[in-house]
Amino acid sequence: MKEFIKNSRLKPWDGVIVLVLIVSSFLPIILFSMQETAESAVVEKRAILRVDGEEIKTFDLIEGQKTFTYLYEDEDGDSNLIEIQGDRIRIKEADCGDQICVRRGWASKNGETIVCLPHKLVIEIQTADGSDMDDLIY
Amino acid sequence: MSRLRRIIFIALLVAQGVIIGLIENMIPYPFAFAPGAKLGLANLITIIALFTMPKRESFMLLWMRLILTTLLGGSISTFLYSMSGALLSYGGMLLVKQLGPKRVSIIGISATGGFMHNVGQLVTASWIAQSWTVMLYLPILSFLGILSGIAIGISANYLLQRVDTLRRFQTEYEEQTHVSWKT
Repeated sequence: MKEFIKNSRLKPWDGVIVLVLIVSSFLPIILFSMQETAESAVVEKRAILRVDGEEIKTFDLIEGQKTFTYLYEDEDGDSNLIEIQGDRIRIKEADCGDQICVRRGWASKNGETIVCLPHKLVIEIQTADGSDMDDLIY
Repeated sequence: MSRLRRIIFIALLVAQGVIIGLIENMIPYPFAFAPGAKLGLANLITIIALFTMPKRESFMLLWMRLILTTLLGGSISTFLYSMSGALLSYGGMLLVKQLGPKRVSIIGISATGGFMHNVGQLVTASWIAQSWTVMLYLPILSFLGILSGIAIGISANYLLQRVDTLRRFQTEYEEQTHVSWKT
């Protein structure tokens, strides 16, 4: 065995090279798992504003973002003031008759909707991976 | 040594490489365990070429071996796989060889070659499949690749020590480069 090793003329860096190769062969796994954790941290959540079935605008709901408002007005003068705060959304003011959409309050979970029937306006929340869908239903 | 001798030497090495490659193609790879794993025996020829002739000629030898193996028993897709693997392993081996005879031996060089061969194949596979997840096969493949690389390094050692013709070419090449890999 000793003679064999001598015959093969191993040099000090050979072991290092083989070790580096073995370690680097696991690199893709490490990279992929890191990427996955980074992606799962940012759950892509959006609120889609639809009027009369037509998509008007989408808002990204990202936790910690600045609060901002968006005023929707159509030709008849119907207006809804939509407020986005962090990862949730609500209708702050509306000039509709029943004010149900305003009283509905904040929506933040996947599949939640805010409806303003008089204006045919719907805000729906969608997450890219469908999380928050598994709420218990009794 | 005359130019004719060099050309015959290259031709013989190419022929051997092609034959080794064809025989290797006949060995069924363990699909369930490691799909696409190959021993990379033809790498032996590349290593011998690296130690007995200038880079230009060994590069030409590599291409001739690739093209002939494809023509004799391959398809475009196998050509893509073996080309990317062979080119990457050639580059990797050249890089490691730059470390010099004091630091690395043939075994380290050929282990790098085997590993880079697998990397090249997987890069091509993930390009064809349009998904980087193919790269997750790398640990399984490179385990075999490094092992066979070490084995090939040992056999290249013996070849370069025992075969007279190879030794003569190696001596001549080392006189040109002033780097001696013989100890």
